Amino acid sequence: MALLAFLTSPMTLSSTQHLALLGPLCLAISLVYKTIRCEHLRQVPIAAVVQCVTIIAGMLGVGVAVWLLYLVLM
Amino acid sequence: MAAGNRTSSNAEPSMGKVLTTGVLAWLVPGLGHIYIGDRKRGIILLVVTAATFWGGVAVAGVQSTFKPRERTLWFMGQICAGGHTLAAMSWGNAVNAGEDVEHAGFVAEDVAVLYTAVAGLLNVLIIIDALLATDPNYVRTGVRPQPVRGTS
Repeated sequence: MALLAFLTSPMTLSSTQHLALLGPLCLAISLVYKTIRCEHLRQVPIAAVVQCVTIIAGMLGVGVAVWLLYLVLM
Repeated sequence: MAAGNRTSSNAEPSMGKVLTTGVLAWLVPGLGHIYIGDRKRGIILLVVTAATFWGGVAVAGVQSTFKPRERTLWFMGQICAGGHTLAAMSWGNAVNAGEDVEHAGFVAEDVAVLYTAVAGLLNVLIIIDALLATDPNYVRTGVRPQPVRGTS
């Protein structure tokens, strides 16, 4: 019953929590992608973590670049 | 057939097996892999996809996550999660039919839609992989094999 209530009660998210939810999503994408790409499943954990960090670092990099562009142009 | 135990074969998979694999993979992400014998891979995909989908639903609640008319393109992604979406939508409609329904805010709803749509789009990759893996000669090439020490 607690689980059912959990799935019908909306959460209130702050902007920090909103941003923090990027992590699990990137990890899920990396895990699924590497699970279907790796021939041997023992390769999956490390490959998925590396890809997850790469995605997050790439997005942070793009964010910083756009922010700097904004500062230069404004 | 488990990964790494494949043998070269010219046998084509039957159309029935391919169709069944595709339908099962759509209905429950990962079930297509389990059906063709790649059990461990199927269980990983099943758990990760279900966690992503229902984690997203938990953010906004089943009543606020699916809006096919307002968010049509996102819904096209969500419906690719198959059975998860059908179950959650039916539940959401039942909740919405009741009284005093609490709806999620804009941010929570956005996160929920994003998570569930990504789970659906990941299932498209899973379905394609399951269909390709029905061929006994299919080899995954995502990670380069480690070099074996002592050989030139």
